[in-house]
Amino acid sequence: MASKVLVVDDSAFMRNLLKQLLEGEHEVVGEAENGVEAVELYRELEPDVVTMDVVMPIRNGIEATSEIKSLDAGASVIMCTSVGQEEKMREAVEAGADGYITKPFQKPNVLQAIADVIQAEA
Amino acid sequence: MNLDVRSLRTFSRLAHSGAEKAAGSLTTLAGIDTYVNVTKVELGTKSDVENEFAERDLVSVHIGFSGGLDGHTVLAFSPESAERLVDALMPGIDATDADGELAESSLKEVANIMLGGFIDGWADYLDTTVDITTPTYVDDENDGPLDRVDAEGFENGGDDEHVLVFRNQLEAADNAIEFDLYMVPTAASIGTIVEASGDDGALPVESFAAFSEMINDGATQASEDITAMTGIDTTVEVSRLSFVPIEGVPMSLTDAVRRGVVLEFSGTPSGYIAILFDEPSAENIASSLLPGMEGDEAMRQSAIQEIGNITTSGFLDGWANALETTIDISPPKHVHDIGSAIIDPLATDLAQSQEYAFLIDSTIRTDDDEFTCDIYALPDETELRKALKQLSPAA
Repeated sequence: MASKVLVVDDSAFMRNLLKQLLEGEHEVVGEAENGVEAVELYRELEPDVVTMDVVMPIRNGIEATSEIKSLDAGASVIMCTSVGQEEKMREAVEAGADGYITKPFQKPNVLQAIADVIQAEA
Repeated sequence: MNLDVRSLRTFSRLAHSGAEKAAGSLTTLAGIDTYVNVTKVELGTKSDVENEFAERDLVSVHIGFSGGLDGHTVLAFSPESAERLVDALMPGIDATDADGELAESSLKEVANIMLGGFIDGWADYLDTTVDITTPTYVDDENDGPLDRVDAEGFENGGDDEHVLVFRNQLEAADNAIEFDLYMVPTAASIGTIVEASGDDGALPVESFAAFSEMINDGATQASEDITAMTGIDTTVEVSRLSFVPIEGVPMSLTDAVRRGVVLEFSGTPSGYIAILFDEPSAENIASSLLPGMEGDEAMRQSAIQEIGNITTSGFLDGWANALETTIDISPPKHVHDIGSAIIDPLATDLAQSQEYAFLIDSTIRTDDDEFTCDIYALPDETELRKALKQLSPAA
């Protein structure tokens, strides 16, 4: 079943790439360039899943995830990150991330990660 | 054997002063005003040095030294520079002619005088006697570039063992002749020099070798990430850890125009990283990531920024995991300028707190040279020292 996805990444290229990967599978309902926009759009759009970059200006993805989770404990957030450091992953999990994909990613990994968090939610 | 930043500074100063003597010798001999561009103390593998010789198609003259210090010195020229130098010494002689005995002989004599002067400086500092061998002319067609250099490394293994290389880039005032002066001492001789510099609290040289391996692993991960993203099959050509006076950092890059990203990293260690592509490579990357979007320059720039971001993560994540720490990375800043101008502000910032810099550089490219990406990292000296301490066998 198609889910409503909010794509958060400071890179226009990565947002575009994610939209292409999700086309026909899920509906991208919004895009945010930083953590502040992500929280605002989450409130407004109430997506099923958020794909969240970690390193972003203004507010990073870990802080934004933490805030989204405090607004909605049931929010599903997947960290989409190029950072493969174990300590960073632990921080993301502590902030409430439900899953993560490491860049550069392939379409099957993205779809699987979304399917996993939706299934866990159900 | 232990090494410390103080030893490296001593090495750097000695190598620079020796190279200045060598430059002065050439000025006297050939009437060509020559100066030392940059002096680096590099830690790499013997095969890295050989790859560079092969890549640049260098011709070289080798001189061994023994006695108070043991090792090899090499004076290396591009074929064009060799030709111009011979022409200055003996107008009308072709330096690239295989039968050009006179040309070869003149290059050997230049090397003999320059390298002799270089070694004398080290012998004086150590208050010892160092004998030098007769010079040997080597071109890549007849010999492996370092076949004659018996570079005994720290691990006493094969070509992948680490060696300390003193590298000086010299240049004639009119930019027409450029050459590199290498000195590769044996491990035992490095110990002799360290002892003479009276270091205390130095780190085992194995820490530097371990860090050098981490750099290579990071570059390999970065190469794999670029390949995964773009479909362009890349490999790591070279990875080096150099110790260089801070003002020499921008001179380590050529004046070719580069495009890419600069990021700041913080943690242990902190510093700056630049991921730079030559212009055709940057265009190739943007096209492979965004087929059919040649007109969307903003999106193409974003693609280059993102690949710089992913490459940086690939490069630094291994460090963070090996050091059991976290390294934060800033968002990537797009840069498009000549290489030295891109690096200059980063070096200027570090110069506020340090006189010398550890410069890490790795090159990722395709076999056909259609794609080249250079990674330059400039960690904070104090914090890198902390990281190196953590990597020491006793830690």
